[in-house]
Amino acid sequence: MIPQSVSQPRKLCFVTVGATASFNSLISTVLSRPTLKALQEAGYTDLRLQFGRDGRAVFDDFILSNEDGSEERCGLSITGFEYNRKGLGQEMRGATAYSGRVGGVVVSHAGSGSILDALRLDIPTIVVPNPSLLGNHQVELAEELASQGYVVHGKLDDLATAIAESEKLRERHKAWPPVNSGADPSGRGLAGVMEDEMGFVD
Amino acid sequence: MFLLLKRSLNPSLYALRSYVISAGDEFSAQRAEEFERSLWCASATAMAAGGVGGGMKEEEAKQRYEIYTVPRARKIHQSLLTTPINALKCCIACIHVLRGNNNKPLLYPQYPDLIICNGPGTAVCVILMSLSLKYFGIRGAKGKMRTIYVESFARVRTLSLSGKILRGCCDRFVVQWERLKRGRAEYLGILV
Repeated sequence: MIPQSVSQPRKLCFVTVGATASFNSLISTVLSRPTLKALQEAGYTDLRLQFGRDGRAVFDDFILSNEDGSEERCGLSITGFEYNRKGLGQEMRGATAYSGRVGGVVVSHAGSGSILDALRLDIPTIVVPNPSLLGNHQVELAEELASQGYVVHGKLDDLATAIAESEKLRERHKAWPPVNSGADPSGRGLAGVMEDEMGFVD
Repeated sequence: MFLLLKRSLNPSLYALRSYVISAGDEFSAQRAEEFERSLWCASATAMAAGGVGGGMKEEEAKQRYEIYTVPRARKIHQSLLTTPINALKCCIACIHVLRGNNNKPLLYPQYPDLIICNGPGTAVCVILMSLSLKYFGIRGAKGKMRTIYVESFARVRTLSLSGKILRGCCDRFVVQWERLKRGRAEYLGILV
């Protein structure tokens, strides 16, 4: 094992591909040399992957061919699991800053559930749409959220840049959920629509 | 759906709640249970802190909601040719739900006052059945079952199939991205 300085705080990168479609290209990109190097340079100590139903082979292949502490692992402690039926909130919490940890990052497929989980936990998020789901509206979600500055739109051919950008996202810190003052002058949101329909009068 | 409800549902205004989920979607059933539990915990905490409202025993709180499972309206990627058979089964089950065939006949009146849905095929069945019950003037249905459709947060530039079908027939049609604000669609910002 490469000796880590004792003082280095733990910093987690959590990767999720979701439960429905397999997304092995994201797993192999995350486990590629440029991405791991970028994580190391950004001060990460831990990498945890939710690799999905079909992702175990890719993950195991990396783990078996690059032993713990080898140079290929870039000093990262790398773990993985298939999926957690109870949701990934608990796993994601590892990437928030608490008890000796510094804030990390979530790398997520473009499923709205995972993205919202990460945003609500206030963790910088890199959203990587799955190109094999062609014509999928998930790309639009990633693009729109990125253009409004809530997430980084990550691409498979260059995750290293996205990791650097996510550090800027952390500094800018845009709170979620957005304040919808402009769109909804009444400020009552859906509750207002519901009350209108029920005929409740204040 | 539950993030949406968490932000918008006041349990003291909407005292009885029914959840309709598709067969095989245990995950949503579990989420509904958790959501109801969080409502109960919040009211118990408010009570303990000397606030008003809530204060229900857990048993009593469990009487306040019902989870219904109906057959799936359309399996994922099912061909449009065979969908009607499944959709019909789903619709029949939805009529039973709307008529209040549950195990709490004394507490629950027939026909809900308000229906809120998002995009799954099951929602289309629920809304269309509520419309037909009203259309045929079934006793007790009139003036009830106001409908609110909330398009998924994931739909940024185009409506979902359910959204396209239901756009014209819900009392209120709410979208979560400004680009979709067309016609009678309402945009109130992001709601989840």
